[in-house]
This record gives sequence, C-alpha cells and structure tokens, in this order.
Amino acid sequence: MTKRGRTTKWVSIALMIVFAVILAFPLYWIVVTAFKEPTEVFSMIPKWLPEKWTLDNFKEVFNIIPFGRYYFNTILYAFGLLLVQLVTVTLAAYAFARMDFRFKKILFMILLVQLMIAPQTLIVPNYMTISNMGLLDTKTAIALPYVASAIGVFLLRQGFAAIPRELEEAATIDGCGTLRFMISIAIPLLKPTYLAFTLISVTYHWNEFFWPLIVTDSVKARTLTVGLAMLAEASESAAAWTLLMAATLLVILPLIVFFAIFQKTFISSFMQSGMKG
Amino acid sequence: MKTKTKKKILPWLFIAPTFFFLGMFTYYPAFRSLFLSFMRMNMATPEPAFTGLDNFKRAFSTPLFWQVAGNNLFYAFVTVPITMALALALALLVNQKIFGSSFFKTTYFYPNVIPMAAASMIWLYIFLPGYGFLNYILGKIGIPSIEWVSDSRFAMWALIIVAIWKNAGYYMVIFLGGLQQLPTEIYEVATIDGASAWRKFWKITWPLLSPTTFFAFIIAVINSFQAVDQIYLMTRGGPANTTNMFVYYIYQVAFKYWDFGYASALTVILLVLLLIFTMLAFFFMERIVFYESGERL
Amino acid sequence: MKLGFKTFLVILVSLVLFAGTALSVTNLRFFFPVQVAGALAVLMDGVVADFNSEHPDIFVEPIYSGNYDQTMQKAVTAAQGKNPPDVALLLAIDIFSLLDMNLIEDMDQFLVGEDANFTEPFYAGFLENSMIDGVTWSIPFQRSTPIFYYNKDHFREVGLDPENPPKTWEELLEAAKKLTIKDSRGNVTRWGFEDITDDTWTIQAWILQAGGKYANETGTESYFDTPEVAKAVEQWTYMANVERVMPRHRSYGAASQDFVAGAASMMFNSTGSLSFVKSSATFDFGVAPLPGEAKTAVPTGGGNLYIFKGIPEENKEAAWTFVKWLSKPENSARWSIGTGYIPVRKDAFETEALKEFAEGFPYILVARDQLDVARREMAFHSNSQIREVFLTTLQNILDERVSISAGLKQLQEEVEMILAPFKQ
Repeated sequence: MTKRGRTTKWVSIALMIVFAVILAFPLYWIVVTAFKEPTEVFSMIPKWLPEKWTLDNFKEVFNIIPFGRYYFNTILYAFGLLLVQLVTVTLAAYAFARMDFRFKKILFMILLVQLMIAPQTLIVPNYMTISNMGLLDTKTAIALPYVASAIGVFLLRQGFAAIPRELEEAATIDGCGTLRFMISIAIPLLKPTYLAFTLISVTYHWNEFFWPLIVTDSVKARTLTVGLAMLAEASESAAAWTLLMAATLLVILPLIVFFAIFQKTFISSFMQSGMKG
Repeated sequence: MKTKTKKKILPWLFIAPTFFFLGMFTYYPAFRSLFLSFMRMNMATPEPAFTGLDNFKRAFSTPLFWQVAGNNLFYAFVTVPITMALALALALLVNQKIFGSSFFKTTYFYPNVIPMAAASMIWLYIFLPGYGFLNYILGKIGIPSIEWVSDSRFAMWALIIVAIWKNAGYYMVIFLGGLQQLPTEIYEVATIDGASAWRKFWKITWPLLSPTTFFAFIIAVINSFQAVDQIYLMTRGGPANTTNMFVYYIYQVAFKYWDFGYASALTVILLVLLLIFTMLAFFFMERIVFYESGERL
Repeated sequence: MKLGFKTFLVILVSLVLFAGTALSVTNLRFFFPVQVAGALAVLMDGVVADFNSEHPDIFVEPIYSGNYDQTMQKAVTAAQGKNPPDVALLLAIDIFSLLDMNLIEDMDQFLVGEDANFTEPFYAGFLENSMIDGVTWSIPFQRSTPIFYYNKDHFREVGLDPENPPKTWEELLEAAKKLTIKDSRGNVTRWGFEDITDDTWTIQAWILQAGGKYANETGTESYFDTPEVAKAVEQWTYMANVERVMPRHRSYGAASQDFVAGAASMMFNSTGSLSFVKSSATFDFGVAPLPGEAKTAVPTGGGNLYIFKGIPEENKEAAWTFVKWLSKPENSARWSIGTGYIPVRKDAFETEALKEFAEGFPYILVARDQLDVARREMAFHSNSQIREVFLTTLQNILDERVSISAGLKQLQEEVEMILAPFKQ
C-alpha cells in the first residue's frame, strides 16, 4: 500500500471512531442512566457509571404504568398487521409483476404515491374516518391505514418479476395453475425479500408514535411509544430521568437485540427498500 | 372461455384489497380534506358550513402560518444537506472494507432502528440545562449553558441535531447501495494513474452517485415536511412557535383548537407541497433508470 | 353422584341471579390526567378501586390519559366519536370549550337532589371557575394555587431572615439580587428566583397583584392591553433581563429540579409540586404566600370533575354517585395527602387523617391560608388557542423580540379576533 494509501487508511479509521462515539453515546447514556439512583442525576458533573447499580427504576416503571400491557398491544399490533400485510402485499405484487391488465402502470404510480405521504399528514381526515367507524381506541384502528403497503408491493414486485417466465411456463405445462404456482414456487423463492419486508414493517410499526397517539385513548390499545410519552409527561415535574431512561430502554431493547443479532439482514433490507426499481 | 375470464378478473381481485385500503386511507382522506377545507367547521360552528376560500385566505394572511412554513423550510434545508453529507461520508468510510467496518456500519445504523420517541427522550436528557451532558461538554470549552429546548434561538437546532443523528445511518445505507453499484474498473484505472482519494471522489464517485444523491435528497425533504414526533415530544412547537411545523400545526389547530375546517385547508396545502416534491422524485427516478441503462457512460 | 333436580334448580337460580347482578352493574369510564408525577396514576387506581368495592352495582374504569391537555383532547375526541367518557377530570378553565361543544351535563340537576348547601364547604375560589351565570357545571377535585418556595439555608447564607420571606415585589427583587450568584464571566450559577415562564398561569398572580384582571366572567372579553398587565409583565422582564436574577425560560419541572438541586433559591411553583420538593430537597426550605403589590392575590388552578352528555341515564346517576363520593371530605383529604394538592373543601381539614398529615407537612396549611386570596383563573372561549397566543407573546417579550406595549397591544387584538364569534 502506498504511503498515501496508508494515511487515508488511518485517517479513515480515526474518523470512523469519532463518528461511532458520537452516534453511540446516546445509547450508552440511556443504559447507564437507567441503572442509576434518581439522586445521582442531579449533579453538575455527569457520572460515567452508576455509583450504585440499581434495578429500582425498572421495577418502578412496571409499578407506575402497565408496561406489560403496552408490550402486548404493540406486539399484537405489529405482528397482526404484518400477517394481513403479507397477504395483501403478496397478491398485489404478484399481479403487478406477472399479470397483465389495463392501467397497470398508472395504478402502480397511484400506489407509489403512498410512499410519499406519511400517515401523520392525513391525521385529520383519517381520524374522522376511524371515529365515524366507531373504531377509536382499538388496535385495529392503528393498523387500518397500513393494510395497503406500497413499500411491500414495491419490494415483492421486483422479486416476483425476476422469476423467469420459463419456470412458470414449465409449471403450467405440468398442470399448475397461477395460484398454485404463486404459492408453491414463487413465494418460497422470495424468502429473503419477505424477511426484509418483515423487518422493515415490524420496526416501523413498533416505532410509530403520532398516529397511535391520536387514535387511542386508554391502556386498552396503547402502544409502547405512546406509553413512554405519557410517562414522560407525568415525569416532568418529578424530574424522574432515571425512571424515564429505564422505560426508554425497555421500549428499545427488543429492537436493539434483534438488530444486533440480525445486523446484516436489517441493513440489507433497508438497502433494498431504498433502491429504486 | 371460463379460464380466460378468470384470467382477466384475477389481477383485479389480487390488487383489490390493497387498493381498497389505499383508497380509504390515502385518497379518500385527501379528498375529504379538500372538501372540508372549503367549510367552516369549528367550536363556534360545529356543523360544516360552506365558506369558500376563507380558510385558505386565512392561512395566507396569518403570520403564524408563514412562520410555520418558514420553520419547515429552514428545518428541511438545513437538516437534509448536513444529513446527506454525513451519510455519504459514513458510506465512503464504511465501504473501504477496512478492519472493523462492519461493526461501524452497525453502530451508524442503529439510531434508525429505535423509535423517534425514544430518541426524543434521551436527547431531552442530554440537552438539559444544568445536568445535561451536552452543556457539560460545552462548559468545558467555555460556552455557557444553553437551554436547548426552551430557548427560542436554539430549539430548532436541537431538533435538527436529533434528526441528523437519527437519520444519517439510513441514508448511509442508501448511499452504500449506490456505491456498490459503481463499476470498480474506473477506480482501478484512476489508482494506476496516481489519483488521490479526494480526486477519485470528486471526479468519479460524486458524479456517478448524483442520481442516488438527488433521489435521497428529495426523499429526505419530503420526510422533513412531515416530521412531527420529536416536535410533539421535545418542544411542542415552541418556544414562541419557533419549532412549529406543518404537521404539528395541523394537529394543534384540529385537536387543540377544534377547528377542522382550517385544519383541512392546512392539510391540503401540505399535500400540494408534497405532491410537487413527489413529482420531482418521480422525475429523478426516471433519470436514474436512464443512467443505469448505460447511456451516460 | 347424580345431579338431583333440586341441585339443578339451585344452579339455575344462581345463574339467573348472577346474570341479573352482572347485567345491573353500571360501567363507567373515567378519564383522568396526571400532571405532576407518574405514581399518581396508581394512587387514583387505588381510590377508584375502593369506590368500586363500596358500590357493587357500579364499576368505574379509571383511564389515565396523560396530562391535562391530553386528557381534554382524549375526552373531546371520544365525545365527538359518539363514545364520551362518563366522567372526566379536566381543567376547571376548559369549561367554556366544553360548553361550546355542548359536551357536558350541568351539575344542578344532580345538586337538586342533595342538601341545599352541598357546595358550601368548597372554597369559593375553586367554585368561581365552576359556575357560569349561577349554574354549576363541574365539581372541584384536584386544585392548586401557585405558592412561594424558598431555600432557608440560602437565606441564612446571605443574611436574610429565613422566617420572614419577602412580602412585596420590592422585597422579592432585593432578596433575589442578594441570592443570585454569578461566576467570573458573568454567567449565573445560582438563580435568586425562578418563575414559570413557559406557562400562562403564574403571570396571572402578578397581574392580579398589580390590581388588574384578565378576563370577564363569561370568558368573552380580555384585558391584556391594560396598565396593570403591562406592569406585571414589566416586573418579569425587569427581573429577567435587567437585573438578571431570574431565567427567561423555565417549566414547572425545570424550576422544581433547579430548586431541589440548589441551583435556584426561590421559586413560584404549583402547590402540586409540594410532595416532590419535600421528598427531594436535602435542605431546609419554607413555603409562603406569594408576595403582593397593590394586592395579594393568586389564581387557582387544577382540575374539576365533569359529567359528559350522551351517556345512558343509569350512567348519569352512577356518575353523580361517583363524583359525590370523590368529593367527600375524607376522600378529598386522602387525595390531598397522597398528592400534595390542597383539599378543595374546608371540612377536609377537620378530618383526623389530614390533621395528622398537616403536622408533618405544615406547608399545606400555608397553602390553605393563601386560599383566602385565591381568585378565578383566566378562562375564555377557545381557551387553548388564547393561552397559546398569550404564551407566545410573553415569550417574545421576555426574549426582547417585541416591546411590552407593542406585544400586549397585538395580543389584545388577536384575542379579540378569536373571541369575536362568541360575543353575543
């Protein structure tokens, strides 16, 4: 390697470390604060590690708010929605990829517009719709706007379109109908894409905040992020930062753990979603 | 004969569920907003009453509306370039496949995996005047404690910092995807010709990446115009409306002042803005395909 | 063992009776906020559980809904979705908004069946925001006033008498000057005084003390562009920007935090923060009535119980039973002890529990005594919007982006525009 090449290398490493420290610091800070005693927070000089490690904050979180229920709601919502999405998305993607019908191109464009409009923008009319349907304060209400998933259709369409025609023709000769082909051959071929979509969808919905905030009232349907926000509201006067950090950690822990285990898949999933057709 | 009809209907059946929900929760709401934007519907007038363009006139003549629009523009056009630059830098660094680059990739990406709600919490804590970590660091270099979220000069910057931190990793991954599509031969030739890393970047990488860059830029801008989580959780649009932006403003008007007519008009205005940006995005998307087909090279 | 006919009958009858009682339980939904600390949600659950066990034919479901603003939002959106809560604990000053949207039942229909002096034991200051034109629309439950906290140790340190806190604006300013500590570069390391500048509540105290007023009884007129309001705001800006003994931006939480950490020597804050301050302060502190000027006066704050329209008849009766129960002196005392809020009725102070509590927590007596000068809080139609506009103006004035006279003039104009459709 040339001298120039070596300098580049060391400069790069230095830069990477600097950025890593900056980006990782908040996570470290959440963890460390969550284990501190509440009074440790009120000092002008930050303590890098808790003087006394304590689990009290976590216990208190479960005491004060029904965190278990929020977990249940969030998991049910995210995975329930995922199951429904898998069906709608598969069907639509297959049609766009391998079938011919009038207005196909325009319809696809119409679908893609959804990518640009986040649900919070349509909060007012969508809230009214849910209200008129009498579905306020239900997990169903949170899920409904997402049953149609443009990103899912987009991802899977690419995958389905890539399956060679010959394969399908061969299957037809063997007496396999469209539906059977789709179910027994096409879908299994796209396992990685399905995995990508699952990661993207579950992460997105676990992390969602504003729409569930508006559309739910009570513990019945409340999700983790909204529960966290409520705790923050209530904590303001009491300055319960250690408590709040413990709650935050509880909310993000599953995500971080899954991410740590499935790093490569996560990153490539999001990479796929960013690629344009 | 029967199979043929079945074949014709089948695609429509397949796309029906998706388009039903798309219609109900994306298009119908948009049109409903349009309809209501011409109505007066608020606490004094609970039943919608036709009022023409009044809501729009009101928006354009309310200083607060322009402040909100201005804030959003500022937010978008500061956050996005900085995020892009950082993301590109991170992508370039990580793409070098130096020892440990995979670990770094993960570290840079994780903020994108956690909810903005959680990010807001931790940054609120870091931003605290007094015991917040950031002010501690600033104090060490002689800068007095800044009240990040309650000082009208800094609140917007606080939100910008959080947004950059949260999103850089995501765009890094987009750029990585773009980088990995670049042909390696050109770089080999350039190295042989003695080009420095900097030159390689400016003459090769940057131009070839430009479609990806523009596209990412547009997406990022579209997202910035719809940002709301951190506003709700960190600043509530304040202080003095310095961090009030479109979606939060719409929320205030609808759910705090109960003025659904005006809120609908605001929604329509935002949708029009997004539509303009969307068309720009599609335009660039076409150009990317054009480039990838080898025309440019 | 063969099931005999008799056994079958017994089972059948029990089932019917059981079903009967199950059917005759009235289910109520109760939305409530927690403005000050998370643990209060648990306390409320406990209180409601006691009600439920004492009233087997009513089941109240307590639904924690965030802070006051969020709870209001939840209640209104639920009501608009034709699914109103039966009872909700909302800000006393939301009364006009709720009436404009025609969402609440009046209390008079229930009071008619009670003692003529049902509302008599309640403090007048708290009832003022609950009644319009002689009709009672809500019952006070969780009320507060601003109160003056001060660090006795700091007082001793600078030669002030810890048993004799400031009683006038001038005395407050002088004390703040003595107590403020600045470093070599002129940055403040200890604030002499902090007030809650990111809300529109405590400024009302200053306005009242200057001899002014902010709203009329029916919430249709505002008086922001008056010399008294200007005087109050001027005192704020003088202390914050000229003498620099008070920070420009503080929330309830931030001020409490500063106070208990010793970073502020005096503060105005809610009586609702008493519990937090008591449990977190490691120093000797005192509470006192707010210093006065032309008058001594404070606004009230906090929440009342509302019964919503659109609920079934049986629910209305049950809701009133619940509201009445919560308002009993023992329960008022219980809530006060658990939260630090002042009891809303005088006879709560006669209960054994509260007498005992007051011995270890004399601050609550100071808060009670200040109630003699507690006045109606600022309330308008379109209250949320006016509060926002008022707050923005205050922040702009404090940040010196607009002069006091220009700011208040513009504020008055804007508010008049907002109130225009309500003036009849």
